[in-house]
Amino acid sequence: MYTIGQVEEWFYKAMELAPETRLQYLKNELGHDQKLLDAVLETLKYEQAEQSLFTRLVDEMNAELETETEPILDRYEIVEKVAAGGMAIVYKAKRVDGFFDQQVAIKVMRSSMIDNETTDRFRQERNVLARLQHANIAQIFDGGITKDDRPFFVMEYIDGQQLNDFVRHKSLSVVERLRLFLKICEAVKYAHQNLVIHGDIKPSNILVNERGEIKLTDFGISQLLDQQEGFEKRRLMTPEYASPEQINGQAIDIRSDVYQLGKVLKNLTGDLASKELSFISNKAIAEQADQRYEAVGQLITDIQSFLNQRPIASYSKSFGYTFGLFVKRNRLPVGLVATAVLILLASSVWYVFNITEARKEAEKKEFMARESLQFLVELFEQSDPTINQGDSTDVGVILSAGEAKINTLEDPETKAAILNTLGKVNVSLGNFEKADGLYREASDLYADLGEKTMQGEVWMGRAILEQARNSFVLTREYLTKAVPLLDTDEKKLQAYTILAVQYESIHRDTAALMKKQAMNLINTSGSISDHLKIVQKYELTYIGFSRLSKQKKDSVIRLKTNLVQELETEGSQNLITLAEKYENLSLVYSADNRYDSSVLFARRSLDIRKQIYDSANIHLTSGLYAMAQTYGWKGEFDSAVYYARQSLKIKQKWFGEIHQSQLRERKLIASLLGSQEELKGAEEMLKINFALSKQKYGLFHKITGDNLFMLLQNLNWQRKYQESILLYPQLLQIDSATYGKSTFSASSMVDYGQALGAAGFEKEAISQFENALEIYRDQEGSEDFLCGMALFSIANAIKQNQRDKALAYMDTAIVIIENDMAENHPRIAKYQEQYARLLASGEHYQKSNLLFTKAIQNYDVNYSEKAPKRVAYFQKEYAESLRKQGLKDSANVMMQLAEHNFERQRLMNK
Amino acid sequence: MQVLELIKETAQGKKESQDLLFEHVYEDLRKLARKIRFDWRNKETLNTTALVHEAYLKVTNSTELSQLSKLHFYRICGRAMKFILNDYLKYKSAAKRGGSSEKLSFDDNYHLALSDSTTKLVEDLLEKIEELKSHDPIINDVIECRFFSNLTVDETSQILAISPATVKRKWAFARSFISSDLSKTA
Repeated sequence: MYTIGQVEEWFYKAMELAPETRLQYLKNELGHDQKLLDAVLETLKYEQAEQSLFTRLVDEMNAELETETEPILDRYEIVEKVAAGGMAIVYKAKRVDGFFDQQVAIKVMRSSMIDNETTDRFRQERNVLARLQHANIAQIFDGGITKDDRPFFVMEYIDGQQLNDFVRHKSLSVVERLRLFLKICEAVKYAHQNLVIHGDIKPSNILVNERGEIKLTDFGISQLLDQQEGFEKRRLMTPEYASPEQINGQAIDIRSDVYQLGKVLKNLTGDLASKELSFISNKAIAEQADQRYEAVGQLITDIQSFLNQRPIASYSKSFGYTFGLFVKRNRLPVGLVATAVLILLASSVWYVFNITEARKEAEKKEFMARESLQFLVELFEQSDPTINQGDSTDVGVILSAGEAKINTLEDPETKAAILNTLGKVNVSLGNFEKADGLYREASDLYADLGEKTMQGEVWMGRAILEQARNSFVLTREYLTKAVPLLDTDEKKLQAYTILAVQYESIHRDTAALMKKQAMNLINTSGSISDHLKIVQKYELTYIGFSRLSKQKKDSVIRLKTNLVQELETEGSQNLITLAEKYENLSLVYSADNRYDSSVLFARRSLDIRKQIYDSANIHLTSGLYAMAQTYGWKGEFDSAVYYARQSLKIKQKWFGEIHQSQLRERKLIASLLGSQEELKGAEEMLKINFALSKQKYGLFHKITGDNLFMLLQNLNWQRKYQESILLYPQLLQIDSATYGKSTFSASSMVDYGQALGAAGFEKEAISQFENALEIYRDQEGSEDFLCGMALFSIANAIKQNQRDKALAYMDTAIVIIENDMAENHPRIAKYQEQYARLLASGEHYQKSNLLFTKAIQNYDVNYSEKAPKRVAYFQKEYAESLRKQGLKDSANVMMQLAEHNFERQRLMNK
Repeated sequence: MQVLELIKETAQGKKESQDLLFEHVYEDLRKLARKIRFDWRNKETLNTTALVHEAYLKVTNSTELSQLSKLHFYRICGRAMKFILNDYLKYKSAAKRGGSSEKLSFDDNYHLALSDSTTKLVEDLLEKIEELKSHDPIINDVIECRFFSNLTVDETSQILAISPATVKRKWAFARSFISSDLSKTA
């Protein structure tokens, strides 16, 4: 006998030798032990891998697979086998009973696969296909049980290639590939509308026939949104195309299909993808589902925009982490709003899904899912975002459509969620009344449902609404109600931050307390994302900032700068937030008169935006505008005008020559041109702005009034009084409607009066000044410098004909002004000089000389360094008065001083 | 994910974690066992890794786990697969004797459904492995790694801490021995 050990030993020895010498060697060595020799030789027979038991096992198993018998069917004749999968085999077949002469595909379950679970799954695929009737989805005709009891169904036969093969064979261009891709998207979108998630979208499941028609196939692992349970979660997937949530075995929603579409897109375009296309596919395949397109429709929109060379509409993250900031800034490009609306609607629905998920109320979930999805689908159909370029009026259309439909919703929770969302959207659009109503309804519903957390969310929304309406008392009241109801630290942090900012202007201690609460959360909570922490810390630096010493301000500015750098190093998760923060930083540095840094940060903000968008993209405009503004402050007017015009140009390309969104660019350009004394160019801008604001806000609106005010100022500077006096009555009407009898209105009257006076209408001018004076007295008291100024206006108007009366007015006025205005304010000198001249012309020299001296001293303090010629004018004026008084020497000295200042000015100008 | 933790602890040599992991994997792979017939990558191994990829994408894609930890995991999966085949044989013979299959963990939903002749091959295979194991446990380890876990020679060498040459030799012998008629005569 021998042991396995002996066999093993000799096996190895033989293996060392060349195969043909082994037999002789073993015979020589083991001749004495025949049994051992036989055993070793027997073992060596299988040394070649092809003959091992393993290969036999494999072959046998595979053979078993192949011997699946052809099914026998009643009305169909099998032509050939076309595909074999794990669960089923697909045959090409034709109908034999002569009803129609068409080739069909028949999918038959493997007999070995028949058990409860797989049969259910097979049946589901059949049901799914029966539900879907779409040109790009393989259609189902029939189904049943074969003679040998195997379930089957009959489908459209597609004589085509798999997507990748087709694309390669036809060597399609990127545009052609994208057109194909859009069709796939349409099919998937359609499936989603019918509450089907495909779950296994990949090139091999997409077939293209010779005519280029696309069919999405294999709904074998699809899920029905309205019955998600019942199947094992883990299933066969191609790892390359599986979404992260599939990999993690989590519940999936339509965004899993978006992910797979993104993978297909990446695969289709590959190296040919431009930066913009890569952006689209990368957004679709974001690791986190909530970073992806919320629905296939948005993906389609972006692809179409790309094909039409339009800006991509999906940079929606910028309104990001809190709606509060969205509202506060209210500077979002209009184009985003439409997307924002749709996304918000979508996200509220997903939120609803989550709540019910937690409750495991399956039945309810099904109902809500169907109802809210339907709601969404209908809203989407209302407005094709590829046609409507996101103008706010179109958003209005979608919203009214949504509001009209809301009462058709039966489930109170869905209804509340959508009311809440519509409320938020209306706030962002400035429809405060409407938003208020929607919120109230949502609030009532949540109260009935006992949904504390959601009630908190609604309070928070209402607080933000009141903030936008400047009702700070209500803002604080609502936030205080919201805080204890909010269930996550992130939401609480946001609430504290808004509260802190709110209290900042009215109750510092409370603001500081809120800031402390917020900082506590930031420092202790484990559930707040680092990103949100940084962003909120940045917001909180605003608290108390204005009361800090110069030194401490510097350190806060450094902190802000560091926070932005932290955001930068955190990674490119949210580039738009980063760009916005740089923009804000630029403002902070401007306010601190550090214009070089300010320009640097504005440029950084613009560069980040350029990294995301291409050169003519609408979303670049806010970066360009920030650059323009910063250069304007820095005093580099040419650069400022350049950037403002760039921004304007993009908006013109996007919204047409003249559009409401262009107000701020024109306003900035006008003021820049104005400061360069290019008044005619500025006038043109201001006229368009007046017309636009009238169109956008109506005549009786503060913004319209402000725009008219600027236009009139411009006309006056150009001495076009005949034109301006025709427009002033409109401004007075607007002011009285918007500001009532306030000092704002009175100032307009003063301006009107001056224009009237300059145009020769003395009496009318005086009556305007008197009206203004009356308002100033009522509002500010008769000792206010505004009254003094109004009195001066009257005095100037009457000084030709009623000098004594004018002198009396000026005498009263100068006392008021000297007392009420800050010491050495240059305006005081201006009035002193006017009074001095009138006194001199009446030969009241003593008083006149005193006032001239005061005025010159004032100007010397204010302008000696910056504009010595101004001092010189006063000195020259005074010198002439001195000469008239016969004080020759004094006049000469004064004249020399004036000459000296003129000379200094000439040197400065060089 | 619990499995990731278990794998880490197993790699650190925690026995209880290894047992728990085995149970976990056994249950999961049993459900997938039907697919053991498909997608043969290499004719001399089971497609366990493919099934594992499917069932544990998170594990195979994990950046937290070292390569060695992953190998340990595949090793356990292969061993589980061996047990599954073994249990299947028990199920088949119980069914043949008309006994109740409910007592076994293979229910109708998950059984392997192999033909009788294939079943016989599996039976032979497992018998031979037992025989080799009683002679040299290392050979059994090599078979588990190479055949059931479809690890490469290098991976097997790494995880068993023996040289690649030894793995090759032992594998060649195991393969030949198992394929031969020796057990009956030995």
